[in-house]
Amino acid sequence: MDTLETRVQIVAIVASALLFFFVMELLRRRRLGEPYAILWLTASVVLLVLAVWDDLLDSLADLVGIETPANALFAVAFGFTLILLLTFSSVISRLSRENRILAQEIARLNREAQAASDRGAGAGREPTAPEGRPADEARQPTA
Amino acid sequence: MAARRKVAIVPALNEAGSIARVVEEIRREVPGYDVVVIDDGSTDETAWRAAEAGAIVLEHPFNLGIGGAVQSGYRYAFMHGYEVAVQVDGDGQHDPGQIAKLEQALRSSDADLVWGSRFLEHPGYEVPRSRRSGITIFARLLSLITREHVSDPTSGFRLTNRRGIELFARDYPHDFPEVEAILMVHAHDMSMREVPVSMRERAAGRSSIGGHNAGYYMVRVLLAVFVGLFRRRPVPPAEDDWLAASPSEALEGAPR
Repeated sequence: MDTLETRVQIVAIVASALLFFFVMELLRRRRLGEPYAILWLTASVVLLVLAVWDDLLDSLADLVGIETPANALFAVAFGFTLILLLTFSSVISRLSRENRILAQEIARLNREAQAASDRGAGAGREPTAPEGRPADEARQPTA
Repeated sequence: MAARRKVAIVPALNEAGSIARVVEEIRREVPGYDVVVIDDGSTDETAWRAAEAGAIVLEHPFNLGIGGAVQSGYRYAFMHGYEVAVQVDGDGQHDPGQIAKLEQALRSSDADLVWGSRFLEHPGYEVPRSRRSGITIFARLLSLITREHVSDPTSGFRLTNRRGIELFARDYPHDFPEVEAILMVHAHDMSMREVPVSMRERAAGRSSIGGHNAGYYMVRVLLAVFVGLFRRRPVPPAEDDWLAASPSEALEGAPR
């Protein structure tokens, strides 16, 4: 069983530590919401722990039958990538659904605001499209 | 807009069973308050029952979470020039009879935010042990950071003045907002005060804390508290700021 090569270990430690502090900084500047920050922080901490304690990485590699520990580290990082991507897909789906509902609500509110201003128009307001006819009684509020 | 100065903000999610009683009780106990119910995407008759009971109802087209619901209320309060706002849960847990007590505490001190604590005079209030220990941790932490005595940081029964309304309209935490809101108030050099109240068992509905989400709640809020310590002033960046984007509304209620 190999152990993690020292250079790989250093790169992995530096990279995951940088990721950790970068995520914290984004959080501090309010560029990242907590739920996503927690995912990213978990990923960076797990990678950091595995890179620092390479015994742990070795036994993990051994456990799942990966020959080189570096590949095990890579597999863990890939796992987190998949989780994050799946999360984003799910969030994007929710956002598009909510976005559609917002557009529909705005359309409805526009229509109702228009109807309300038409109704109250009579006196001095600017006439809108079908305005100007004396047939005020013809324009009934919908719904 | 000189007439009405005080508003009760009532966030409600699927509270058709209790909302009418809450609204009626607020109107009876403190007739000087307008009641604004924020229906946060309920699938039941919450909005209709609240309107029937005489509330102004803001209906979210989908669920935004408790923080989003409460902030809707503060934005409404800000835009309409209210001077005092009180938050009352839609589930009947908070006793409207004690709003006057909160208001009295705000007026008699220099506090900008007061909230009702279940634990000051009524240690008998029963909350599950797991929740209680979480509340204790946050209480200690907040007491340490703010140097005020905080015993019930998750209480949503809170009353604030125009400064607080403006702050919360501008920025309010999202998912588990109570603890973070206290920190925001502290970071803005506003003063705060706890007031002993008694609370009832929730009439219906469910708690936003507790159960299998408790661990996540703790981590999430602890992270927010920790990161908040490193922010100079926890307000959002200018380009996200709706108040800066709409100066006419911002001016409307401000000068006195």
